[in-house]
Amino acid sequence: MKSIINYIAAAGLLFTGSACNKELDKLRPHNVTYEEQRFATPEGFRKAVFGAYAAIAGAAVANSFNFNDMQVFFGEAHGNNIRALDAGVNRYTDAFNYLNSGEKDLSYTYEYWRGAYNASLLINKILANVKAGEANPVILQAKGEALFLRAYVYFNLIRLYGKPYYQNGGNNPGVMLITTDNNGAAFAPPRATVKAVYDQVVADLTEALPLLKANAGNSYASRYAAFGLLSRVYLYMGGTFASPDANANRKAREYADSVILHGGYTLLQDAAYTSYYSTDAPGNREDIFAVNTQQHQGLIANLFAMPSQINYTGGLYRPSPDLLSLIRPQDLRRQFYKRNVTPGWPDDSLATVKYMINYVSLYSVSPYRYLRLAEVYLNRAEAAVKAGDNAAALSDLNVIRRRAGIGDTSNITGQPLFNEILKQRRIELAFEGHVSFDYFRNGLPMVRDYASGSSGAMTVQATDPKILMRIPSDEITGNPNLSQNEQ
Amino acid sequence: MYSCAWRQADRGIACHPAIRRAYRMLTLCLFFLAAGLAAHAQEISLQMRNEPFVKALKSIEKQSGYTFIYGKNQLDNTKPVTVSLRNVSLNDALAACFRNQPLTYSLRDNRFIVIQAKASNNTLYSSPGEQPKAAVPLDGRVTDEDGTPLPGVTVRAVSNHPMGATRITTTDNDGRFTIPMAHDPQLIFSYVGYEPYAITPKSFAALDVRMKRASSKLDELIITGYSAKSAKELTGAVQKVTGEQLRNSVTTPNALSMLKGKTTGLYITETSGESGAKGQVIERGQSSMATPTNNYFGPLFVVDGVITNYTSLQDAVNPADVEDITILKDASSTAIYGSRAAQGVIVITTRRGKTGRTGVNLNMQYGAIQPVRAIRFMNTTELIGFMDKQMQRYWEQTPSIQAQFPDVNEFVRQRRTYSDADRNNNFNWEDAIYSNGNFRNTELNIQSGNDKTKFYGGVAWYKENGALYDNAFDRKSLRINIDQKVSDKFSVAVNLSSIIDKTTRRNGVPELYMIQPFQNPYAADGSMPDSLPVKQSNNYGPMFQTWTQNFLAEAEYDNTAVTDVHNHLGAIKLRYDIRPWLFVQSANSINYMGTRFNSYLDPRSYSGKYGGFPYLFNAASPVLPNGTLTIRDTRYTDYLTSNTLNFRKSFGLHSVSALIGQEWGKRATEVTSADMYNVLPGERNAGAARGYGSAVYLAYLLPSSPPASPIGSYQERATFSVFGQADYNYDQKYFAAASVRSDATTNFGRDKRYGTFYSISGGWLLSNEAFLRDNKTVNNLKLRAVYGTSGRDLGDGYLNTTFYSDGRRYGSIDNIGSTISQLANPVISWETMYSTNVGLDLGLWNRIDLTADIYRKRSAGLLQNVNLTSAQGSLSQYQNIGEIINRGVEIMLNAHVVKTKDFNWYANFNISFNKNHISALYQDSLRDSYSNAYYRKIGEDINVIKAITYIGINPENGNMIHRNYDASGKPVEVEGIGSTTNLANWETVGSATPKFFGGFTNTFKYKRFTLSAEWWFQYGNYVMMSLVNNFQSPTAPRLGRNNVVFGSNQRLWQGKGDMNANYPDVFSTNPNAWNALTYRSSRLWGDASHLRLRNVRLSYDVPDALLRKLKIRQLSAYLSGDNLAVIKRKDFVGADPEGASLGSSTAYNGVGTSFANPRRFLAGINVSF
Repeated sequence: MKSIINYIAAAGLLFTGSACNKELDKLRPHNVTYEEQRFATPEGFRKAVFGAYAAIAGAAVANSFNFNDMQVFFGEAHGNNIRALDAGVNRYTDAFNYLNSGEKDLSYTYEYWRGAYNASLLINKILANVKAGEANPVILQAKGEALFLRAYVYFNLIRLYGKPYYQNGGNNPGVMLITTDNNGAAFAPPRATVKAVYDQVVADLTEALPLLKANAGNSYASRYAAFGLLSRVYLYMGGTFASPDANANRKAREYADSVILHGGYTLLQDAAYTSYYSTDAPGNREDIFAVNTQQHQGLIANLFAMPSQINYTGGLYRPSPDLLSLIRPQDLRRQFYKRNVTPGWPDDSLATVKYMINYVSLYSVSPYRYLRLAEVYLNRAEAAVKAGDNAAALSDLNVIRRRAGIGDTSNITGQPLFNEILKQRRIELAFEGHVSFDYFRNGLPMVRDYASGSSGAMTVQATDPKILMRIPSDEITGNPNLSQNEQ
Repeated sequence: MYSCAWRQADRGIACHPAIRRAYRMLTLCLFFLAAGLAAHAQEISLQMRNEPFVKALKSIEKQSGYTFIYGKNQLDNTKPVTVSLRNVSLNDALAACFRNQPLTYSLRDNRFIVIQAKASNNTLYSSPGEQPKAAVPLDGRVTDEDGTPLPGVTVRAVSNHPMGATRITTTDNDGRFTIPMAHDPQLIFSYVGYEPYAITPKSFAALDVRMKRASSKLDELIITGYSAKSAKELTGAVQKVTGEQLRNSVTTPNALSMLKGKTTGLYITETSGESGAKGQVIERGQSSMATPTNNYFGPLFVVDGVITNYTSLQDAVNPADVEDITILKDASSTAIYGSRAAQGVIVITTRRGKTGRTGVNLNMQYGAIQPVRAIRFMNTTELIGFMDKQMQRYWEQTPSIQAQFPDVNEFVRQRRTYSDADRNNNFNWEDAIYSNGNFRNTELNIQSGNDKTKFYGGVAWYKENGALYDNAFDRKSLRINIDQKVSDKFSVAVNLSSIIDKTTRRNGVPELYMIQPFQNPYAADGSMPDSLPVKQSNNYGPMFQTWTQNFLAEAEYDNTAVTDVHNHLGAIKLRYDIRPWLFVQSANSINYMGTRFNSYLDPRSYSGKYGGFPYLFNAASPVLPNGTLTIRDTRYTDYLTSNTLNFRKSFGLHSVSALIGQEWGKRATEVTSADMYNVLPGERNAGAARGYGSAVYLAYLLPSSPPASPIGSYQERATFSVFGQADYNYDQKYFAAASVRSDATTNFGRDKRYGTFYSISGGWLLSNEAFLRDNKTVNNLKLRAVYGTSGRDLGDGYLNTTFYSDGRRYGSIDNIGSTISQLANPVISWETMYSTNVGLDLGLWNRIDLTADIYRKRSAGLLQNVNLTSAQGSLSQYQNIGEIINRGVEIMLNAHVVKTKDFNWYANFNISFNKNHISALYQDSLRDSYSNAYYRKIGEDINVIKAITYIGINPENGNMIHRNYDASGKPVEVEGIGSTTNLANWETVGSATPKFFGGFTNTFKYKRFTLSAEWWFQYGNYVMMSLVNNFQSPTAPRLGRNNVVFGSNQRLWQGKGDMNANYPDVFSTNPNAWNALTYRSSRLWGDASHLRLRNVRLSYDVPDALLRKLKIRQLSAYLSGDNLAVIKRKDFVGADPEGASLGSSTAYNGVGTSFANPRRFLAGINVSF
């Protein structure tokens, strides 16, 4: 009998197995939240939205520069507002030299592209977790902000990777348009057309408008930020001066009206204006939407303001002689360029102070002013002149000129007026990531009549394939349905 | 019990065995029928109790294949049969059944047994003229040398009579046996692991047999998996290194280092010469890939049967306590460890007490450590000469500088980074940083044992002051192993081990390249300033000066980083013997390993004031660190219970052992870490700090920065397993084994949680076959073959789930955002290794032993952290990504070369070849982890190194020439490096792992002197000679650095027409010259093949006569030297060819200028009482 008991005991030992297996289920990971838990409460949605903002403000997928820094830099890199000090051919000068490399260690395209789609995933997760018929105001506000951010991400992507809207009726290849969250390892979408991406951007912003009820300040998506961005998106869809799209320009003007008339924003004047860039965005009455980098150790000042002696990362940029020659001495905007911007590091070349708030050592907390009232005036002016409404265009242009201290202009219409609007737009928004897009969307060439450390004078036509960034090579390898921007 | 049956037969008395015995017999029978019968039909077993004779005949027919031939009524008068036979020969069986029957039999044609009437009444055993003899039972007991009873010993009574039967029994739990004796048979005792013993008893008095432990290698017990086998039973590739062999080698607290060169298949790299460095080991080639959470792909360590989570042998055991270390290399033994054994298993057995042996052993060593570095940094004269020449050449090549400074001397004078006074100031920092060190080691162990209790206790204290400035290692270890017999059936083993290691390294000691020889730590008056000027300039601009700490002036402050490792392993093993051949065992262990890192800079020191970053702060900084303290606390707590039911039994020539078991293990990992500043002087605990954050955080502190705080993590993981194993051998000739294990882990999703691993193996010991049995030449010959699987999971858990992590903020410190930290991979599962091993063991003339193995390991479902494409969200995710195949050959040769009375020469040679390649990729290719510049494709080595092929130096201008490929794929020679973006230009240089490696040891014994020499060699691995690129660059000195002196193997381009150069013009400003010399150039990759004399040892044993006088048992004294010579490639540049480890993102780190293995000299004595 005893031995039988022994056998039973031994067998029993082995069968404790099933109990242990249940023990495995009891364990859980720590310091993390499951997706279902994250979206179980309105509070969770809030956190996910802050996470999405953080993704566009902060570190991209890879390390080095923040996603936001690359966003600012790319906006200027293909333009003629900047001059490179660095003579090297490297990732810091790659886009500036129009090399547009697709390789990871030769360009920022890898980090920027991947950063954009990482943000897109975070946003799509939020949107996918909003239940149909959701009524909770916090969740609906989160949905509105997520929609705005998705429009932000895709509009910025399409500007860099897709040809201007006016070319080929928007039917050129755009970027992957991903609006779902749970796609699996085999998911490999091709590039949607430029038009499809613009349509999605417009649809997202339009859907966001009624949801964006709260206004937490200009670091966050708001109703007027959506109006402002719509005004710009339609301006980009508005065609060239020679062959404008009346409908798009009408919408650009309407949405600009909404901002200017009802938004409650003000153009800062005089001393308030000249100290514009030394203040934070929150509370500033001209900013409509500015990416807040207070928690993200912005590095863009490394490129635009670091003294040349430090030579820390390479790729230092200074305002181009071309840009400086356009700014008259009495122009208040001249004050945005200074010598010796870094305390303790004398430098004899002018550098922009637009990213210099609390600039200590490497980091600056300057916001990236993505939408501000001055631009909306210029959007409306440009749309108006394209629609043949010279008086309205001149009026808006003079608002900007007067504020800059260079007085009104008059008696110009048509093409000269259009040129003047673009010129003021270039000066006003220099170093804010607009210049190259403003040329190419209008079918204009980008002309550099000056040499840089790493490249000489050059002219790039709006039809040149070089105006586009290459999609990262790794992405082409990883997704057989993607086509490259051959150049 | 058999004796009982025989007695009955002989005496015709019914035997009434107890019910318990009947039960046992029945069980035995069942096992026998299941395991033994089918295997060999010529052995007969019969269990009959008063059954018809014809039934016995039928049974014999069935078992033997013979046919009985008899007349129709011939069996009518037969008597019922009562016999109990087990595995007896046909003859014996027939004899037993025909006893007392009126019939007899004869064999015909080997097929028929013809039954005829008995001619006479004589018993079968009688020969003419001899009286029949009755068998008389003989009782006895078998023990080992120490008097411990041996259960399960096979006892055979072999009759000397021509018709005599061989009777067999086995000893019971207490070693007792009873066997019938007839015709004065010889008794032969055999037992695995013991020398066979034969005796012809002269009387029937109870016999006491003491069996001697076999000294033959074949009978050595080797731990494989959950059981021990004798060497000859092994079916897989297993190697054992005894503690004695280990300790008669290099001196170190790290058993891994001692193991190097002693076995095949272990590629061991000693990554650094610093005290307490742990080294790296890879078994049979790299078969996994490093991931961010698990970059360990060395073997699993098992200590006294406890599966541990150690990643270093140094942590697992103190060498003094090692009884032996067994390396399990193929699936035959690793499959039973399942999920974590894909990279092989190293089994450590510690010393235990033995019955009847009591003694104290003391070993004391003292030695010196001498740094060995094949490189040297420039002294003041050399460095100034180098800088002057560089400036002169720069001037020559730069018109704008010429325009500015028409006189080159003026240019040098104005823009140089030293002063005239510096010329006479030369300080040898190399001597200050690397000076001779010393170490001492004391080991004391005590053993005692009786029938009930066996005890081993060991304490050791190792203390080393390393050759690096203020670098120390201190180990205190304690081990207690107790074996207690509670009752005849119940025994307990308790193992307790504590190892406390403390590694100290001084903070603020600069790397040699960071310090200029004209920085003198002493002022003119002999005092030491707290800081030294660093003179530098950028782009030939004016000199500017920064400051660095004078670490020699800080000796009075406790500016050190201390790593305290507390490592406690306790295990209790309960064993209950249900039957002599069946026991249950429960092994339970707790393993705690706490690593406390404490790094301190005293606020009174210059280093402390600026937090170790004098260039980030100055006196005007708004806030200064004023002393920093970093505390990092990592705790691992493991719990493991492992319960097995074990069966082991011999049935005549059949031996079967089997076990089934279940295991549950859980590990909790907790990390707490904090950086602090503003610390009280002389206090290095958290309470002494007034602020949280690192010095770097402080330097970049923004008004909006979130306050720094301690960080930490907690992780739990658990594994549940069931497993089984069976071993069989027939007549010690044919061996077979199989095992299966199923694991479930929290690593993967519930559906993919289970991994089942198995192995099957077989062996054939040819030397036990009749045709080789007494062969004079071949004394051992065995063939082995194995196929099986094992697995690997990851450190990270729950990979099938999407997680959000809170942390990234937006806009305000209170707006805590949540982002995805892990994207679910619902299909991820085990990495599985399929391995095949074929081996041969050969022993010749009792002098030479050869073991050779060929293996192939395929790792499928390799786990790797993969960057997802942006369509999936651009995160990274663990995936099963491909397959690697490792193939190799291993040869181990031991020879007793000279064998005389006074002089003996033993030699060991071993060599391991391994080749690996990626055999499948689930995606297109893998990016290399070092440079990210090239891809690894199918067919390539997992550690492939690719670079642009270096062709030579252009004699005209000193530029480098490399090979590129043009658009049509034609090779072209280009000046400089050419295009690095054209992937075709990246050609294979070689692999980071060697083609082969091994060791050889010669031991000479003359009378009482022993001299041994141990070598290590490795061939064909490439490492980056990073110091060429980093520390011989002409720009470095102007940045306040020092340079490595160019070796005689480095022939710099000297001038136009120099055909002899093998390095470009170092001073050229042309980017195609020195600037082209980066990791991209094959020139920078050096062949690190080398041969190293690791140890020479001379020892002397004091003669016995003297020992008796001194009343001690044993006394020996020895002298030993480690790392005495290195022979390497002529053109290799680096401190030492060894040191590059594999696996992490810096997999191809060169050895650079870091501190390689030092030389050691020591004297020691070993005394036993």
